Amino acid sequence: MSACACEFAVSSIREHFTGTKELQREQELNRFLADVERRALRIAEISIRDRDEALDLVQEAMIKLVRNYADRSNNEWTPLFYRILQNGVRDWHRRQAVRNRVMVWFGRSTSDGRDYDPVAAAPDPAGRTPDETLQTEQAMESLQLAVAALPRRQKEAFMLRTFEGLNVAGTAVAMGCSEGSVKTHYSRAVHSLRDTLGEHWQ
Amino acid sequence: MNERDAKSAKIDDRLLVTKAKELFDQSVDGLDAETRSRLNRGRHEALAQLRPGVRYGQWLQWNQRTLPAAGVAAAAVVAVLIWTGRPPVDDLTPPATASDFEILLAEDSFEMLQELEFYSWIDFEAELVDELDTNGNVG
Repeated sequence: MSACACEFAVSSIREHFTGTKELQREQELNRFLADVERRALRIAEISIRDRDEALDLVQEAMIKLVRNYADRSNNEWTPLFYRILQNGVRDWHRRQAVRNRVMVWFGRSTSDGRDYDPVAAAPDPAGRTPDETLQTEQAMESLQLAVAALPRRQKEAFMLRTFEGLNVAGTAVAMGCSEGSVKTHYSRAVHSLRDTLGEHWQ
Repeated sequence: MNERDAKSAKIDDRLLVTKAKELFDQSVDGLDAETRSRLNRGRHEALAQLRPGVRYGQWLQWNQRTLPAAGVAAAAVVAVLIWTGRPPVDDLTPPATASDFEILLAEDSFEMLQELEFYSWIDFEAELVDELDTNGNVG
């Protein structure tokens, strides 16, 4: 066999293994995203109270993760993904704030009918229905409203720790702060929720 | 808060967190088919970024971002060319001046743009007549 043929064979084998490795990475990313996407959507939806916008934010986060962090180890993906998503949520709120200011300046309504009144939406202890599904939905609605009303950092810490199940270190990476800050925000969030939701919710 | 109260509060907190997690998981499981389908499509679009052959989306996004900028840049180049009067279209077309640019920026410049060649020709003719008159006077 000539030297040229040998080089070609080695190159083909290398390409084959590189292709296999890339395919494997794609499958791992697919599994990761499929596992995380629905929880991420609900977390984003609770933050911005709009499903369509939340879907867009989750897709943007998935694209950014795949583009920029596909080479990172699998353990790093969850905090990185949520960091991207939280940044997206923050940018969304900033854009909304600017939009609202502009709309106010032009004398137009800024609410789009999406304002909510925590008092009006608070659960009525006497208004329980016999339907269990409805009760669950109402409980979830109360929880969503209470979580949405938390200060931003407390909200992030609570959702990442409780809903996504990230540990303190992972939450710190996702939030871009120290582990001590995560503990403080989380503790305050839980106490605040306990006060807001009251005993009847438990 | 005494030790007993603190312990009780801790249990309450644990209950709250457990129930919150249960409710959240139920809401995740209860997502409708359309939403799941949209998530699925979004995931596959994201994963397509990994394949070297599939760059259409990226290309499109790049173009969406850059086309308006390219348009503005092209307009700026045209403006500069008109401003500096270079390059002339041909030997017969006189170089445009700053006043032309001002006219082009005027409100009713659209019709003017459509008939630019005509106005250039009139301008050229006027200059030719002036030149002939000058030569005639001299000669």
